[in-house]
Amino acid sequence: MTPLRLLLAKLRALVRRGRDDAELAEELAAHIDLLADDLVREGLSPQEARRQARLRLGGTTQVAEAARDQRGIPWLEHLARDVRLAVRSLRRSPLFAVTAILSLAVGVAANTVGFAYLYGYLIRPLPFTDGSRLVTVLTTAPSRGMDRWGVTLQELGDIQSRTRSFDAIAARSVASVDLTGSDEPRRLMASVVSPDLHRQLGIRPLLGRVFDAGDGRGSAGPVVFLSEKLWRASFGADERIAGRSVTLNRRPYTVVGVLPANEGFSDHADLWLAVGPDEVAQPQDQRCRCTGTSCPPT
Amino acid sequence: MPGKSDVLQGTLDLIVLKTLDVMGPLHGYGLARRIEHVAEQALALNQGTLYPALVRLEQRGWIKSAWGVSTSGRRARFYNLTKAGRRQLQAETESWRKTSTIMAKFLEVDEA
Repeated sequence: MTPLRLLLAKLRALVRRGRDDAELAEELAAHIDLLADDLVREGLSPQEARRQARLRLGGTTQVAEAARDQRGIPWLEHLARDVRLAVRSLRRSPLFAVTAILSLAVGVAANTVGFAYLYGYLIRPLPFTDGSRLVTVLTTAPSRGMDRWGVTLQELGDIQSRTRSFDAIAARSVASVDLTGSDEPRRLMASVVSPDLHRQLGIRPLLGRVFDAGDGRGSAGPVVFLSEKLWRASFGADERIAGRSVTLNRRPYTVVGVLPANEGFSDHADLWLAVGPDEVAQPQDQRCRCTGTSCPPT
Repeated sequence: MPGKSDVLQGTLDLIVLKTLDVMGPLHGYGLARRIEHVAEQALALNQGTLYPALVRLEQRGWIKSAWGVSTSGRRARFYNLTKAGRRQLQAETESWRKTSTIMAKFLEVDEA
């Protein structure tokens, strides 16, 4: 006997309920007849015999009900009955039905939206290494009325060399660059970043590599890595792009890698350059956005 | 009904299987009469409770039923034990014997 077989028997019983009910009714009638016959033989009057017989059986309706519950899946049948009842009573008062349904819809929608925002901003962990320890670093200049100001590269260097509060700290800014050398020149948006930003955040490249701490210091020549979007649009998704040279602002740059589109940190940049003294694409804004990984609490 | 035991949950299935094994095909009323006869009035059998039990046993494939004609000439549904039912009867008899042996031992200790 397998549970599957029992389930099949019960499902079959749901389908052929009418016939099973009729057969059971006939069976119970036969039971009462046979019992009554015996009671008449024992000396009861026919009417009294039938009354006794019904009593001994325990009520035809109750027995049929118990057998039906045993046969099918009672909670499912009760649920179906409740749903039918609900639909009928809602249909009888459509105004109430519409009001109730609308209130429910508005309530559910509000909850969903609320939770989606809460989840996105408060609950979902950042998809970066030590996401819970990431902070934005700002400077203030009260004398100029600035209480949330960016960080200059000079200040970044000072913080990096003297901090005891951060395991790592990196800056990023934006610049426009011109891509030439292919079919038609394009103006692109570059994210100019501290070379160790992507390693700090644990962002992995789609192919090739992200920047090393040495990039941007001049010895190996300027390097760049591309967004997946730019790589597909302008370089035909070339798998061997790493190591090739591209011309940005009329200077040759070596491509080191490609960053996946959903990397989650700077969605709008077409390519990344390493901030450094030799970089021709200096940040437009003298002040950068700065991200620090604070030291773990001790 | 003083002095009569209610049918324990689970024992009715075993009683029905055993009765069908001994008596061969029976209709519901025949089963009820036979059970009452064997129990010699010691058992308060609400005859109606047989029918959910019969449904349960048939769905599990331990008995099967067919319509026939009773000795008094009335149309009735007859139940018969299947092969699976016979195996189930053996298994349940075995387990019931074990249980009652264990219980007997405990109750003897209590009396001593």
